[in-house]
Amino acid sequence: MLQADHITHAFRTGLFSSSRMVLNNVSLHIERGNRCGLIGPSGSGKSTLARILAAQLIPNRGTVRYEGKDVFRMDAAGKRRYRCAVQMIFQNPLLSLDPMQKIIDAVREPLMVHNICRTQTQGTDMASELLTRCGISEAVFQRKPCQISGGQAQRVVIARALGLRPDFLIADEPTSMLDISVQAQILRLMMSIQTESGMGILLITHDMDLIRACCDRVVRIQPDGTLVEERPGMDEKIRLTS
Amino acid sequence: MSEKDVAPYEPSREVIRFSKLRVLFPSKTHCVHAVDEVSFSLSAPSSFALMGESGSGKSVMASTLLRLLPKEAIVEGRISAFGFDNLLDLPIRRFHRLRGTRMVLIPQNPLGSLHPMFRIDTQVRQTLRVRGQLPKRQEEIQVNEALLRVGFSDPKRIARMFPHELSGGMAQRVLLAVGVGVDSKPDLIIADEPTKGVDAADREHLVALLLERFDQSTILLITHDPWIAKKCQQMAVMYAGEWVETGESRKILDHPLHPYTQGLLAAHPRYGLHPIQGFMPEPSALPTGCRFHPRCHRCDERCRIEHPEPVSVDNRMVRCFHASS
Repeated sequence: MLQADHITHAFRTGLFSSSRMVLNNVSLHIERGNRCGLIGPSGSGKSTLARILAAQLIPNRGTVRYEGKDVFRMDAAGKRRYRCAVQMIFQNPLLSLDPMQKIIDAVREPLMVHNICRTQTQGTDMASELLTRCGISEAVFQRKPCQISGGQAQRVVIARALGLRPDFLIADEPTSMLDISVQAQILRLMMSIQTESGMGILLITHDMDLIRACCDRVVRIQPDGTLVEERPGMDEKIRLTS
Repeated sequence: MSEKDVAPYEPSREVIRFSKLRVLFPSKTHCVHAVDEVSFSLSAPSSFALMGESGSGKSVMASTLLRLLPKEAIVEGRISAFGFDNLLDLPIRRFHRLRGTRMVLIPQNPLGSLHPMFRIDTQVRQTLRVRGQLPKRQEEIQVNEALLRVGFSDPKRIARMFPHELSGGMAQRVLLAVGVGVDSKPDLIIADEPTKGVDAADREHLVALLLERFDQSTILLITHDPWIAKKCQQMAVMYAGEWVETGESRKILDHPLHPYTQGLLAAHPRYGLHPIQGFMPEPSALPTGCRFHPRCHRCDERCRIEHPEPVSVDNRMVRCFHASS
């Protein structure tokens, strides 16, 4: 389980001015196999919470626990394992990819860094499998990010994340910059992978229609920075099943 | 503004007419057909949505109208507007006077279109000065009025902000203020994907603002979202450089006839997120016959060989051999 307890975080709005509270005593847990939707308007703190869960930002107060251990008190080896176990994908995939790196290299690199593959050949083979699994054709492997579409780039980012066999995937508005049909493809890909692998997903969005289609439960960030759980209001006819 | 509030389409005067418009981008090895033989007209006041996926040619059409294409582009056909037989033949200095006054563009990616280092009031002032609308001593008043016009209740606060401090919806409204200024009444406003990346709650508000505040202009709204297109009176669905279905928006979106239009609706989260299989063809490698046939569940031998021409079905034009209600 991934558990955030009593997270409070504020940002300073200027050198001498007061701070703005974004998260106010927020607690959230995500279990493997679950699809949780996090909804709220722009600026409400969704991405801040995501970054805290991914250990990219240390909150002013509160803890994040993975399998019962405090993430921010882990030793280097523990943090390294955590960064494999919790992967994050972002709204603009092109900003997540090195513009000078070929697609195949972008997916292979973390496999080598985290010793999932021992040799370059193994890494290339596994990267190829991951990209194919995510719907990227071999003709695209040698291209750079500027030579592929937004939808293809998001598939590459998902392939890269999956290579580390994460327990949790945090998807921060993964489809808001994509066309409607590509959005459907990407979300269906994510949900089918989630079902196969049993990982937990936190889907961050401002679109309630997406939440209803994809998630088992939904939490909403309120304007005062608190979190409330809502009934997703699932319509079984339109519920996405993979 | 709800769908019920969409005014019925009552054309009064023609604003612009496209006649057999083609746009090609040649290269050493191949030729990209970005827009292929599009003919239509827009009247005032009215709202027209151009819907399709990325790569369908929607933005190229807008760029052609504003003569913002790269030099190597080949443009054929005619665009008649504002008393000119063909805007494409107009000397660029004369055409430049139309851009930003009678024709206004609100580009995609609002945060990428605003200068990150300048406050909003500086950016609005700069465009007002270029148009010559702005006596210097009244600068601040004019900037505030421009921001009020696009729905900001506290324009002084917004004017002091930098682009990175704005939400997507707010940045889009600033771009609208930059585009239309204080008291200009452009004949044509082209909004290129104005809701892309904007919060779901803000999207409806933004489109309502555009359609209500500028109801005397012709609005050409480019989008991939059927729910946004439904707010316009008329629409066209574009695929691989050509129009595949055109007519009244509500009719098309309530009862789509072309398989591509049906696919776009089925891909929406409200209808189950069913993606259209495959991808739009590369403009340099279009399939023979119907351009949609590789992705179409109704495809037959005729679709693979013969290119369908638009036919009139149920008061709309549909480019499909199997158009049915």
